[in-house]
Amino acid sequence: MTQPILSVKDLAVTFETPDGSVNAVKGVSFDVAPGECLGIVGESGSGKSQSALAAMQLLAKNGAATGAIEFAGHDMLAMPQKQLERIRGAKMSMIFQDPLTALTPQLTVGQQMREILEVHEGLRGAAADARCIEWLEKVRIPEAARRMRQYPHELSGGMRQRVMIAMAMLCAPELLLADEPTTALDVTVQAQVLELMDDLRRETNTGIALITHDMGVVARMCQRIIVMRKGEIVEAGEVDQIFYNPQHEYTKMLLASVPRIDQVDRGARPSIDPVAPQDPILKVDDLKVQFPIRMKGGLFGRTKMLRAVDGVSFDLRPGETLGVVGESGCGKSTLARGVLNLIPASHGSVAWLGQDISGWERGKMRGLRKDLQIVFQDPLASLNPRMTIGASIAEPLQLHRRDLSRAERTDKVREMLTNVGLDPNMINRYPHELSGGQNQRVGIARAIITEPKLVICDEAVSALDVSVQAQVIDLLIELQKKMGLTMMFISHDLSVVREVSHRIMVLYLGRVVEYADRDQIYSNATHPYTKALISAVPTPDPKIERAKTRTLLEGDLPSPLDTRAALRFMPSKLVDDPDADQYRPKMVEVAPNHVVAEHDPALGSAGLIAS
Amino acid sequence: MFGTRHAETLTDAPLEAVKGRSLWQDARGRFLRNKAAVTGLIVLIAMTLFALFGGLLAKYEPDFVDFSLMGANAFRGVPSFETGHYFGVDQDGRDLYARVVQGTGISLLVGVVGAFVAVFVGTLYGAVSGYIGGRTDQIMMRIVDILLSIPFMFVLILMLVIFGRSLLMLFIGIGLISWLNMARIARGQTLTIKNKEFVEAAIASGVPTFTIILRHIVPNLAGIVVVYATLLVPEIILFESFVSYLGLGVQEPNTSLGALINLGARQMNNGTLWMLLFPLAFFLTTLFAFFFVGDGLRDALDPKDR
Amino acid sequence: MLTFIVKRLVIAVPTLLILILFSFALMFAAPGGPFDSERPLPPEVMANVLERYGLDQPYWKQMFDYVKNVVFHFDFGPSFQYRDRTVNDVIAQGFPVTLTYGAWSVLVAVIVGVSLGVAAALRQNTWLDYLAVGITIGAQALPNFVMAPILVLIFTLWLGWLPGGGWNGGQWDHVIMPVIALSTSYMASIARITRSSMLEILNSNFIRTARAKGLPMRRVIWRHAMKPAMLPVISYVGVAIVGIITGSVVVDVAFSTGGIGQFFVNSAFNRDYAVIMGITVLVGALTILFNLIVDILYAWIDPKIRY
Repeated sequence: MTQPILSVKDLAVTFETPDGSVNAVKGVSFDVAPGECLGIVGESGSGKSQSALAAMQLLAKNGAATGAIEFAGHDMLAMPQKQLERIRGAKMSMIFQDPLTALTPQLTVGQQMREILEVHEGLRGAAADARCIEWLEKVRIPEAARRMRQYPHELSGGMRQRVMIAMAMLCAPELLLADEPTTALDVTVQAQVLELMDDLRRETNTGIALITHDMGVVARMCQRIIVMRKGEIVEAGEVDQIFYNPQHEYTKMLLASVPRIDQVDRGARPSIDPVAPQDPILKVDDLKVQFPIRMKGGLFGRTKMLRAVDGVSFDLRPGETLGVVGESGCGKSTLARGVLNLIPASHGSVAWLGQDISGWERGKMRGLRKDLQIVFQDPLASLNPRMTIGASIAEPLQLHRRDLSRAERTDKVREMLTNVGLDPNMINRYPHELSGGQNQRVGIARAIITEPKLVICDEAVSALDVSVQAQVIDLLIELQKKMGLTMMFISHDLSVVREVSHRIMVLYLGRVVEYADRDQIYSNATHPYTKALISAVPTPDPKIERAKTRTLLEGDLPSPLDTRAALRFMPSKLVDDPDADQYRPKMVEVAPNHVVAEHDPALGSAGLIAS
Repeated sequence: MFGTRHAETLTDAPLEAVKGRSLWQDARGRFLRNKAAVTGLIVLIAMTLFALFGGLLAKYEPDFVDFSLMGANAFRGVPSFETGHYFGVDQDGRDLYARVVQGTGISLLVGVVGAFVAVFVGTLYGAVSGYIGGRTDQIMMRIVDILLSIPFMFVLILMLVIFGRSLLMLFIGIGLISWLNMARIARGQTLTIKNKEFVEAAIASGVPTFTIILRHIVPNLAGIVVVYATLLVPEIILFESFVSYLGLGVQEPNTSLGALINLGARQMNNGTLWMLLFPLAFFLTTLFAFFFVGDGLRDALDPKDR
Repeated sequence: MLTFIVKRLVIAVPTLLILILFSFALMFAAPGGPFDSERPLPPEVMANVLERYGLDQPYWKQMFDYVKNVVFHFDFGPSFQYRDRTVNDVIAQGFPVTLTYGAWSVLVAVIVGVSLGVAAALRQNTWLDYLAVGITIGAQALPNFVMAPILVLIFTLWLGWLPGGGWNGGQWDHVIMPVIALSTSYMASIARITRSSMLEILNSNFIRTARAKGLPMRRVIWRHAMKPAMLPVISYVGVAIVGIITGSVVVDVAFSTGGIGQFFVNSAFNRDYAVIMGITVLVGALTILFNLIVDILYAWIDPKIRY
């Protein structure tokens, strides 16, 4: 190995808090070589971010680092402030997780980029501008010169993250620390950003330390890996060695927990049963949900209709799980609320057990709520902080099972707590005393205590760490087997959806682009968007990742307010006017139970036109 | 940033270690650990007792004029235990101790009643506006905006001049103004709570609207309302004192701390400083106590770092 | 930005009208007119007086005329108390005084408050921070009508450094105490808001980014932290300006400075509705104007607000 650019030895990070000292990092050592990508993997609280911040000497005020951090032969821990400032941003730079809050909202992109050149290289004016624009173009930001004058809030999340990368690369650093650089992004944008970072590493020989919780990203990007847990390194080694021959129990568990998009075999863990052919219990036909959006401009502004769900049809048989996938803003959550009548639909019908329930008012729906339940994304936000978890779980019972006495209710709640894998003695706990995974179990308990027929899971496992995620998925599958639940499983994560769903529906800007049986979608995707989506998900298997040919979508998700956006995959029919009524691609049944929207040939898809 | 990380590491610990506590218990613990707030609370209790029962210790009625001191206030009306005028007498020969008891009572009364009215009206208005939303919300809040940009102190004085000065008029005037900010706060908080997933979960379970407001919205509103109510009391006391200081507030023979400060300040040149300093001391102590209790409650109920 | 200003103005006009109409309605609801006194005027004199002030006209006509005169001629009519002067004369005499010490008070409150707040935030948990926090907590409970007598007590009666009242054409020694009395509590609030807002900003992600870029700390603070930290302060300055205008009444009473506040209180005791209304409307207009300025300033700093 060549001389490392960053060498960390026995690093310990301690935070002084009102509740005493917390050891976030406990004696960690690792090296990063030039042109190498080191993956630092771990779940939340493993100390991986704090290690990187310590290397930059950017720890929070109450934090202190001990040990040795050598950057290009200089001791970072003993370095005076002035010298640190000369290194930061010039020779060693960092990309942060949340592109929404990581840029100063009051300064334009150009102002924030130029000042780096001014401080580190004394470069100003046109020369500085040219260099900034050059880099913005390198990270594939369209209309770079105009973006320079824009404020961060005017850019999309993916665009902002690319600005962050351009900023980090401006002075050609020797080391790039990337802290969960793609976690907040959609998969297709993540794929673009990862590709970009990989190219930069090759071209500039920059060393990268990539901090992530996503084993797929690691397999895609890294040559070497360290696995961290609770502030310690549990395993370190070459990427193939870790993936194909893990030694430590935790690494094995981590790898086993990761849902894989390329296979359905869950090993010893529970998997879904096939569904018996029966009449559907839920039939949704041409459902549309629209919101009026006030646009800026003029004295009073004007209103445009945002078509969040734009004509979606599907049905569900008893005991079946429908996976709904799509990127942020595709209307999947709105679809869930439209089906449950939590948001009024503007068009179409929802038939529950043969009865059209669309447009029912709250009072009329109340009787049906016993059978229709929902589990939300954020486990903590979906529980009332002022109620014990027992009271939260009991609330639906109170409404729908008036025949039960107080004691019987409590018994049922305790029983349910056991069913979802919680200690029944926790009945009087408050949500803030529980972990995210435990709270999500409470949310599930509340949803199934009335023994509903349909449960909608809206990103129910997205906020959880992989190992916890795997447990909650196991729980859902087991409950389905035991209680014969019918489910709608909504997620942006295609790998998770594959594990739990019988059928899968892909949404793009409120419309279905492809709808088929699970294996059909993954092995035989037809629509270019589905292809791009599946190709974008990194597989936690380095060999597959290296061999993969990538189908990359260009640019970001367009605004759903622009009617042209819906025809992104069928430009041949496009009318170039953002307010025009556009052609509506028809749904074509390419095989039994496999429906695809019309599209032009693109991204390795042959194109499809209804005859 | 580090706060959440820390919370996560803690939850990894075995659950038996965490003792079951409610948010209110947590808040009480945090409040009791705040020495300034607890001192403030004790002072407030003492102040209330003083206003209620302090009169029993007075040797004179508040409106009794001690003619024996007439014209010789500066040296015969000085604070003294012998004459029974613990705080001395005022410029008219009335017992200042009895007057301060009376003034403290009126000031506290105005503050508490005013805050109560404001909290009641403001919370209701704000919660309704926030929960209904849409155009109703916009109109209701625009009205608040318009009212807020009217110079109310001037309008209040205009009202007091026109309808005559009385405690009732003062209550009406203060009540009219002070609910505005409360309404804004309550609305903002309602909006946040309304969009929380637990409210949606309740709707999805079929919980009736009224039960949702009572069980899910109001308890979560309570914290912030209590905090602002505590901070509103001293604000209203200040407000009343301001008007009384101008001689436009409480009418003789009634008095308030603001009116007493005014009278005392006018006598400053005559060497009877006690007339200013006693009411001033009570006034400042009350204000400080309320501020500390309010701040303590805010830190206890609304901790950002959790 | 222009549409934003126009929008705010569209709201401001009806607000002012409502204020005028409301004050006018109040006046008519009053039991007893301004010239009812213990010794009634002879009927023919009374009729003359009423005619001169237009009080013999029907209410709606009076109101219409008043609004018309105020809006189009900026004329508040004759004073009831100062028989030979108009309300405009009274305002012209008092307003420059109020404006002088008011403007100084706003400046002192903002400059001292912001400096103290920023210094405390940058030196969090040092003696400077504790001192600043102590000063702000103490000053918070010292409103103008408490400050005024205390200042007179110390600087006039005990030390004899400053005159206890009067204006004297705005000599500096006559201005100091009114300004301190008016600005102290607002200075304290501004300092407190600045400190907590600055601390919050300094802990934000984009400050960490700025530091990771290798910018010197001074630049991080001035370029990246200052603007966002000032946003809540600017909102509060609007409130503070209204408070300072209101507080001018106390200052005029306490220091006999002769600003509009003094006329206001005198008129209040003498039932001179014309002057009270004139001053109320003027202050209302000022309040709306300053709120507008504050809103524009806010929108100028925060790019997200620009309409």
